[in-house]
Amino acid sequence: MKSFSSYCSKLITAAAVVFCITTVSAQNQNDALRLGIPGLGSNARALGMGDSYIGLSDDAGAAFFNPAGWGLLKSLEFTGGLSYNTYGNNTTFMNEYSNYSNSATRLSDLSFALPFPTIRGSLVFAVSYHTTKDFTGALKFNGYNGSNNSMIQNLNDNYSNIPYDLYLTDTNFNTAINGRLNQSGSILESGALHNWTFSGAIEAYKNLFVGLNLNFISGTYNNNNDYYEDDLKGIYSNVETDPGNAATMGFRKFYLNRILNWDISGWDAKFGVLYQIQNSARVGLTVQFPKTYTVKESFTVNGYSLFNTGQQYNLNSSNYSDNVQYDIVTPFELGAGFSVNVASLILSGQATIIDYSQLKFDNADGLSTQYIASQNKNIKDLLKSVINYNVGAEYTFPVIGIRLRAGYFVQPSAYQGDPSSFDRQYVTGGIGYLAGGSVAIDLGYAHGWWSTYGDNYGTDLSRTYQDIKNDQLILSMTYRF
Amino acid sequence: MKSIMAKIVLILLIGVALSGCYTIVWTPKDNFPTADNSNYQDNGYYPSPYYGEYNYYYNYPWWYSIAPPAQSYIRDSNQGQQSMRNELGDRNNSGRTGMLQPGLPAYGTSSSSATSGSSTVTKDSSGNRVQTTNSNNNTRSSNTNNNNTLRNNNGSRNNNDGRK
Repeated sequence: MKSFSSYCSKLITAAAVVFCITTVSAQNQNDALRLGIPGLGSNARALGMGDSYIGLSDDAGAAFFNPAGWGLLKSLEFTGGLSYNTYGNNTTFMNEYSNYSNSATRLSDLSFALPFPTIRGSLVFAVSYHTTKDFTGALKFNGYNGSNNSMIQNLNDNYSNIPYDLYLTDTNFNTAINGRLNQSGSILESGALHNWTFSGAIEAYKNLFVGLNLNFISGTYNNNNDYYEDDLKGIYSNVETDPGNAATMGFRKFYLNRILNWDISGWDAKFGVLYQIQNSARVGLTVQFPKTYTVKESFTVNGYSLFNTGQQYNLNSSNYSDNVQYDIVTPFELGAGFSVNVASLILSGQATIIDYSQLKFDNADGLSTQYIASQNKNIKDLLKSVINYNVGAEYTFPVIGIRLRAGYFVQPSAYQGDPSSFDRQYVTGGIGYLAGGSVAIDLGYAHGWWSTYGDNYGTDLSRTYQDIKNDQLILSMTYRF
Repeated sequence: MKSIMAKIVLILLIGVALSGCYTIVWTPKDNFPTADNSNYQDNGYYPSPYYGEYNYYYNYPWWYSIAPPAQSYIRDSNQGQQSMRNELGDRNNSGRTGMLQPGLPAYGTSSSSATSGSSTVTKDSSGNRVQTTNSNNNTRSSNTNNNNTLRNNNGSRNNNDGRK
């Protein structure tokens, strides 16, 4: 009984925080998670094998998965790739269904590897520019909230002057608005993280390779959030929201637009080991050192209120927009993987431990120390340690030079108490073709799905339940010479 | 978890530091690794019977497909310079002797040998054939140097063998 109540308590706690992508205002643990959850990488072969690549990594995928894999290269290698990412969100809000999608196409990978001529062993250096994570996202909702709450009231209760500035309160900050409004909105997210990766790998013992990736990160994240509250039922048609001001008779619409732009930079390092056992198996181990992201944030707010009188009041954007800067530091990630080659069939698997409760904000400029400390405490209280696991397979038809791939992987939810349906699951597939013995063309595809929810304000007062579908396609060409 | 990872990295680094690195990178002092003289072995992960051209794709060192750089002169720079000087001298001799005895057979297959054969013979004022000693010495010296250079190449391989 106690464990059940504890579980419920955790759920309530998790619900008590602003969740997922539906709120754009102050910094919270979702901002840290946005950078902390690993991306899918940019290697078509790896993606086709469920990103289960720590124990393989014998191509440009080493820049993302296991730097020791560079040591397996014997040829000069040039790789280029394109990725296409779609994000679909089926949302249930107040028993109304909406769907919205977003997509992005980008250059996902450019890399060059130079194995040094050796008398014995292997020494390889490489440089790569690759996309490590895509922020493409979308959300749309529209429904009537019949309860006696609203964003207007929530802002007013939380000492925001926005309702006052829009003449939705009297001069004493009291509002006549009491819920029963139609609520709608949409969010579009875009941006990506890119790495400049400088790598080196060496065969330290026979068949034992060690490598290091030094990553210099750049990226952007953009979030455009439109939110509306409309009095479609005419509940406030005879009410002056600012008593004595006839222009405020008959509240019709409240609109709030929030635009969040991040300019991201940072660095990190990844250490990897890969050992080949006999001729048919490899095991790999990686240590991802903490990534330090510096976020230069620009937050812009616009909005207006509209009345039946035709009067519209606009928000003075400069009063509610600001620029701040802070660091987000991710935890260590420890990964281990293997691959086994049986005749023409490669089977691979891996697991990665990430303790999300070690995410933290740091070095804030424009945010109070107390605020940063409280956010870091929220992270400790709400997030947990997870184990991501991946499995994959590849079968080669040697006569025609074609390879078929399949895989599956799971990224468990970082939140304590989340059900398994909130885990990000992906099935993957791929095909590869070797032309002329030196040009490999690979196509990788991943289909992911998971559930989540978000609150427009408060806790479970205006909640969107979301079923996410994410599809990613990577096309790459590798030339070895 | 941090301490575990730090220990793992430390153990690996200490291991490599204590035992030395397995990899030997080619330097200009070494004989250039080719398919004939290299110790490199296919790691066997993509065996040819099952992978066809992929075996070559993954396992063929790119430096096997290029001509070895002219490291024989770099191998022993002093001798290399002597050899070049001798060749310059031979060209001079060759210019004279070629005019005098264009049809003489070469002593060897190298250009310096051919030059030496023709450059050493001349006529005295009475019409008798005589050998110009200095010229011969120079020419033979050139041959000797070239042979030394070749032996140095072999010596380079011997050095490699010694590392085995």
